[in-house]
Amino acid sequence: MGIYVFGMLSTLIIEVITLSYSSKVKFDFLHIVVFILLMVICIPIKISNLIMIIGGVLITYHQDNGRDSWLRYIIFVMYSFVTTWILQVVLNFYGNKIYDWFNYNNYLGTLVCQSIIFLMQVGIIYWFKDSLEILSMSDSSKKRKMELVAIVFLAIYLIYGSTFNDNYNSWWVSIYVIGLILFWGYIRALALLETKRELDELKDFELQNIENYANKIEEMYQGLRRFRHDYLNILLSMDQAIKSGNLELIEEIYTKIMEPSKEKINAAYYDLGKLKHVKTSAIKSILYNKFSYATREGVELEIEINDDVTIQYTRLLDAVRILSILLDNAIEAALESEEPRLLVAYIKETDIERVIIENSTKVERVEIAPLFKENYTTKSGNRGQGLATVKRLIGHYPNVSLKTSSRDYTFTQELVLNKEEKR
Amino acid sequence: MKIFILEDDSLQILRLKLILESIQPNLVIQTFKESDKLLQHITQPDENNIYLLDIELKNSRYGGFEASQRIREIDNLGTIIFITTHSEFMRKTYEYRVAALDFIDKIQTNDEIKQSLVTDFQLIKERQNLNEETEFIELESNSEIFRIPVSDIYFFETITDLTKRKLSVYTKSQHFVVKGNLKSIETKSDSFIRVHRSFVANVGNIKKFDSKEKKLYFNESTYCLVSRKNIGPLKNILKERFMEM
Repeated sequence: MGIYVFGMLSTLIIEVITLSYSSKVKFDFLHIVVFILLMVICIPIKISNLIMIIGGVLITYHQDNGRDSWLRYIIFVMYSFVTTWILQVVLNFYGNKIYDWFNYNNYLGTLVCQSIIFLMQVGIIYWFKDSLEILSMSDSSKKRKMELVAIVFLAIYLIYGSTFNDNYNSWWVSIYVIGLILFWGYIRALALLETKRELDELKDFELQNIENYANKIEEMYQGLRRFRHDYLNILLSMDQAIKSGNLELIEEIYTKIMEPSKEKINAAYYDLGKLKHVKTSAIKSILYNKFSYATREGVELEIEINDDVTIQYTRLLDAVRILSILLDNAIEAALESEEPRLLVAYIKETDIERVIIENSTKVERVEIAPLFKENYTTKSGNRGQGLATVKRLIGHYPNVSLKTSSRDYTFTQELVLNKEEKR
Repeated sequence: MKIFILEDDSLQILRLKLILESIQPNLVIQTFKESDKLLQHITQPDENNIYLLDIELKNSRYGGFEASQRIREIDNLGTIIFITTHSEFMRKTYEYRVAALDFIDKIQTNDEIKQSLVTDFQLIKERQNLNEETEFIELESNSEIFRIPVSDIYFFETITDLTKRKLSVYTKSQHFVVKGNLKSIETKSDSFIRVHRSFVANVGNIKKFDSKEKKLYFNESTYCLVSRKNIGPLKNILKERFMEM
């Protein structure tokens, strides 16, 4: 009996830690007590596995205040519980064959088995963290499908496990092992395919924009040549006018010179040349793409990039994602305002770099907190979803942080990157 | 207010002086044509100092920018305003590097420049007043220290990450992440109270408490959660506060 209780308790601990680690829900003392009570109730019941899982989902939902979808709680709870049980069966079966103490019939065996399973569970989730992250961020229809596949898979295992509880043979156990490996392989492969698809898309996008950018630079060069030509002509006639001493004519020519230089729109047009400092071509194309869209739509653009920009703090794909979400949001919001403005600045100091994206807004002050809520949408478009994604992406990098502010009809996003994380 | 002008064109100096005198007749104005001379005249930080700097100077393309950085080494309280041509604007960069308050375009008319300066001077005064009477809290992120008026803060939220201790701060106009934990934040001001395992709220800014949904509102759409065991104590605190008001 003592061994049995010890086994059950340690299993519960492993399951809850796995659940907490994979779903990022922290359990407080009260909820853990409820878990233990649930387990005690389940001991004499036949379909205890199913009840443990249903109970587990409810407890997790309550602990997390239902911030996530039911489906995800079900997956995480099923995953942590089912895989732990499967690993136990497998270990018990093979362990028994190697040493006669290596099973769940004595304290030493139980302790060793449970420790191995604990390490495996934590290790596997650590190993799969990136894959899960990539998948949870991909487009929703695919995500739904994947979630359903996961649930069906785990459910089959659950039924399978409770039917053949007592008389395992090596054939059944092998199916367990193969099934688990297939399941993990499936997730890994999906994630790799997704990453590859995104990289390919990025490459295409990059090529296309670099070409447009080259055309634009040529056009700008032609513009400058024309300006130089006109300017020389004006100076020549000025020379003539001064020689003739006709004050009226001099004044007229002078105003002609001053007029174009007062125009600020032209300056913004040539601001695009500042993209020369951007050394990563994927970033250059994303910036060029968004900037030219903004100018086309009539947004007044200000670019301050005076130092070389390279991506050294994040993965390229993440940097592209973050920048495009922030720029899309900024342009969209600017277009709703009275006088659309967009400012992008890159400021480099010795051990800190800042990327600042600032836009004009329709209202004096935008409420910031709701923007970061998952599934939040403004009336035009999907802005909130984007920001929640940005927040999650940035969460991967301890040396990157985002500061958001909104005042005086201006909305500012400031990405701060520092060389080393000070702890 | 003491005004320092760095400008190498005598006509522009004259123009600026006229504009300034039309704003306030008896201002103390010192003018310099070289940045070295200006720097010799600054001895200590003073929030009453105002520096009006041109960017392109005779011997150096970005002389004004360099001067501003050197001014900041001595005086971190004074106000820096650039008066220059539009093509030289680097608004954001110098807002961050030397906390420049404004960039004013030389090409504008005297009235327009005057208007900008009047607005800037008002802003300086407002800031000085704010500093005197407000309770501030200092919050530290990975890279910098923020000094925020307590009255601006809505609430703090722990970040769901098992390994690191970080807090999300929501204020009236900002959102950012700092180091720390709720326990230590709670002690930093009397108006901060713990309302949930992952939230500390500023009672001073509460607009509405929905005890059914267990949500604490700071305005229509900004809220944090309240846990069941905190509902009672929170109601008492709110009652007390409303009684005082």
